[in-house]
Amino acid sequence: MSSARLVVNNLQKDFILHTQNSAHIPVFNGFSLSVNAGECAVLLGPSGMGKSTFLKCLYGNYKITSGSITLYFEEGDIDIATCSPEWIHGLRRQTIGYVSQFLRVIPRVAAIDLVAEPLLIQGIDKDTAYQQAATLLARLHIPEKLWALSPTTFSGGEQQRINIARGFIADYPVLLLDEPTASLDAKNRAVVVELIHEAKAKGAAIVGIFHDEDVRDKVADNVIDLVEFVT
Amino acid sequence: MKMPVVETQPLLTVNNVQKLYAINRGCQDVNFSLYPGEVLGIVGESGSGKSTLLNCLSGQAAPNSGDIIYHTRAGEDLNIYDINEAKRRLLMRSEFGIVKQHPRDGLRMRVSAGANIGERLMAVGDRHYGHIRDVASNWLEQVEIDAERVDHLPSEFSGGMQQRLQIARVLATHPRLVLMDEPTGGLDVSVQAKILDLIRTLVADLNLSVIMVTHDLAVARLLCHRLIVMQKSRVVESGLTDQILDDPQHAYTQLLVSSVLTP
Repeated sequence: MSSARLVVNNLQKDFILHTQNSAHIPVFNGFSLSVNAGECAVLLGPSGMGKSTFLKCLYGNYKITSGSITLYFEEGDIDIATCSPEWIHGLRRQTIGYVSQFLRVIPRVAAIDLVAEPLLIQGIDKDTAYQQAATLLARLHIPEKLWALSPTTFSGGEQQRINIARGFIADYPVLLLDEPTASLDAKNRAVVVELIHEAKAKGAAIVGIFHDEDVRDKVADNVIDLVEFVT
Repeated sequence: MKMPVVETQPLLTVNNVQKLYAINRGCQDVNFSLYPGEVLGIVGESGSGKSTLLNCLSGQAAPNSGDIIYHTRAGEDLNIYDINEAKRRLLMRSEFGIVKQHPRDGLRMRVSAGANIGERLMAVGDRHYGHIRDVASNWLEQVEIDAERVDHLPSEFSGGMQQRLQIARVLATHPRLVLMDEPTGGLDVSVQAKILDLIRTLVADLNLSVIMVTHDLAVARLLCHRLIVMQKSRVVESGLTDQILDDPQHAYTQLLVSSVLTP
């Protein structure tokens, strides 16, 4: 347990929809998970089971009904469930990377700016940030003529690769991947598998969702079936 | 892994602020802290107390009770209504900036664009005409207004240009805290996008802290790190912008979020 980076204990998530007759929708309950540095845990379960909901809880995007999500740092530990917004911001800036299923585009911002942004926020100088962004975009086969354009008009696969580049550029110690290979061709899937292996080698603790069995087999150290925790 | 470094000295601390005009009209029980570089959005329906709160924060309306504590450039913590009028005005001029919803309320319409910016600079002690004019031209370019129009009157500008001029006027004196009341209200969407983009860039480049009243949740998502949701004079929910919008907890916030039309 000494190298555990991320420990989820007895997590419960319910939704209450006040505007729809206060419908109560329990998602999961009693879910626990531990991920070590350099390890990739993969969540299993059919669509609608709450896999993405779980990742969103880890990212502080969804509120946690009960339970804890603890991150272990050299200086001590932090529970995401009780973290203030300023701390969630700090964690997102420095610690937790998240590749969502869909790119939420900020209009009028160029693809390369979006990819360099996580490094710039960390205070890395412009030249280094843009150089790394360019390297990553090239590796993910985004044609150079698109770099200066806003991804609003990009194809689904291109948008997904911009998201992937944003998630992998900053060497986050914790990485959340929500079906990063869903709309990619074989060539780009292979790049993503490479990126995951590199992140693991650097010690990242990864939690991912992969519907593609082939990718899952290549990256997973631990496979967790969410079905048993569904309420 | 190393713990992130998080700012622990708030720029502004609001404790139990209350300003009521009638029962549940105005704002009450408002508590929050704003950190340097943070953009805080205040959302809620008309009449929920958003603008009342903003007026309290901007030194324009003393609350009935509660404290508003500002951490100055010099490192002093000032309760903005405990200091005398002259000192408060100086603080507002030198460290605060206020962007009004209607540019004509924030601009002087009978003097030139350059003079609108220059006036603010002179208010904080700049006296060199040539320098003031250079700074004014420079700011016009930053907000994408042709510097050749420095001598034109704001009334000769379009609504979107007037709003950008107002932003230039406010930012020219390098405020640390900018308060905005519906900065893109009443503008058409393409102009709105340009202003949002401008605000986003300037906030990041100048490390500004911003408190913004808006009822446009799309604007809030784009610009604000954190949100406060108000209903009937009270804060019903607050937190990270994406958490509030994607997983709202309070019935009123859920109603607000579910009522948004997406094109």
